[in-house]
Amino acid sequence: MSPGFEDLFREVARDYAGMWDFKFRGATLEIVTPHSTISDKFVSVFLTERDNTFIVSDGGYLHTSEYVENEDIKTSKCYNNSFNHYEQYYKILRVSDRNGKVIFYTKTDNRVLVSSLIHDMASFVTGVANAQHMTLETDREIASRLLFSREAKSFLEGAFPGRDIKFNQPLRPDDRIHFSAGIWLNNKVSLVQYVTGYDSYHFDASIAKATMNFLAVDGSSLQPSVRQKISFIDTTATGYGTRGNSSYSSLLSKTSAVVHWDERRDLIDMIEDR
Amino acid sequence: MNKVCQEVRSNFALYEQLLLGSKLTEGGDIYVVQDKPSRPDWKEERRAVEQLAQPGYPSMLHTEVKANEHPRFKFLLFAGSFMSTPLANYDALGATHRNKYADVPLAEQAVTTPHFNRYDELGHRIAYKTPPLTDPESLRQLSQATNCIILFYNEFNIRHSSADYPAVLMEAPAQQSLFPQPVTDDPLAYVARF
Repeated sequence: MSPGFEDLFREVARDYAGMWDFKFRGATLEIVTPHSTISDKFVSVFLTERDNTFIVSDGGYLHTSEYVENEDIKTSKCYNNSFNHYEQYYKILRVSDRNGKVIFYTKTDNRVLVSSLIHDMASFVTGVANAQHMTLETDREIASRLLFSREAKSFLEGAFPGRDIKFNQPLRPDDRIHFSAGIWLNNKVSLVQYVTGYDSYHFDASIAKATMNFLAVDGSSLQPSVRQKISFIDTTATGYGTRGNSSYSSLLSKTSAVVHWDERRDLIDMIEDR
Repeated sequence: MNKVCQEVRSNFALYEQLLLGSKLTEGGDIYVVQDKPSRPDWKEERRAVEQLAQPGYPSMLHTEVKANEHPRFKFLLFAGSFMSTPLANYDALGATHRNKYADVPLAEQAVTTPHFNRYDELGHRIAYKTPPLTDPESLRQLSQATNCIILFYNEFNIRHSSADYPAVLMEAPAQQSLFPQPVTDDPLAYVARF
């Protein structure tokens, strides 16, 4: 082994130790740790004392997406799954503050254990923050979905000039059910849901989601305004396969009209006719 | 996420002109009172920025303030027809940025807030501090958004038409309270008990 390695080790340890930094934040000490995320952020943990107990927390930074760069595309994440593992392993507690911000923390009344809690909290935040960036879908799956949604959007905008088109039309304000587009005229709306998918699994899931979304219209406050329910099928998707070959598609055609992308002029006739 | 911004990398000269070329804002003071749609715990104000040398690239200045944490604010400069992410921004408070590129030693990678972010010629988004951001006395002044906007205007060559600089205010004139809620940068200030 090179005789210089022990010196090199000391340099590494010194560089590493030099990464720690702190800021006074009211009654709380922000500690910037050497742990970092794949969004190019160093993780901060927050130390405070209440009733002779040391509280080590994330300062609410996970809940407020502090480690997420820019606005992320909406997609399913590994987050929920990995979060549970990390939360259990590090025995993380949580509390909501007066403004609804969720804070993850651990606590001890033994001063000697504070360093250990800070190590745990920094590891927890790093793991969870990185999971917030990891998608269950591959980049190709996401890209194929976004591509169709862009093409469909520009088709709809060109086909219905002057109409009020709401992309991501919610079923009701703040509802998690959204339709790909709502095309409005005289307080009546034609709901359009895109069906696409990179492979047959995702394509079937997309059909199932469209079916459920349209079923949810019945009895909702939006229902009286709904003129049409239309599934807009991405025939260019690799998951498209043979038209009408699954029970999913027959369920879909019972809950909505079906228009195929390669016959998209039908959509204009369908919406103009009424 | 350590990604290279292709718009900047392939046209760095234009990027620098948009970032550092002469710019102008109009209108009165900045009242940060609108809810930010994607993050309801933030308020924002948006106003047009005229690119005097590049009129084909209309730009925007976004001022964002976190409700209940007034020392927490951002300024963001956009040129939407050039790139969708900000040309540059200022973060008053928040996570420490990591400049992680091949030849930056570990000890120089961490840039705490407050800091500016912009892109380098390779399209990397980097964080940096100017001298006032390391001086404790000027930092105290700059923790007020209304003082700090001067720094942002000067850094990116923006002038304001009517006054020297617009003031940044958290409430519309009619709603300004005689007894404003005290604000704090303590992220745990509103936790009743753990």
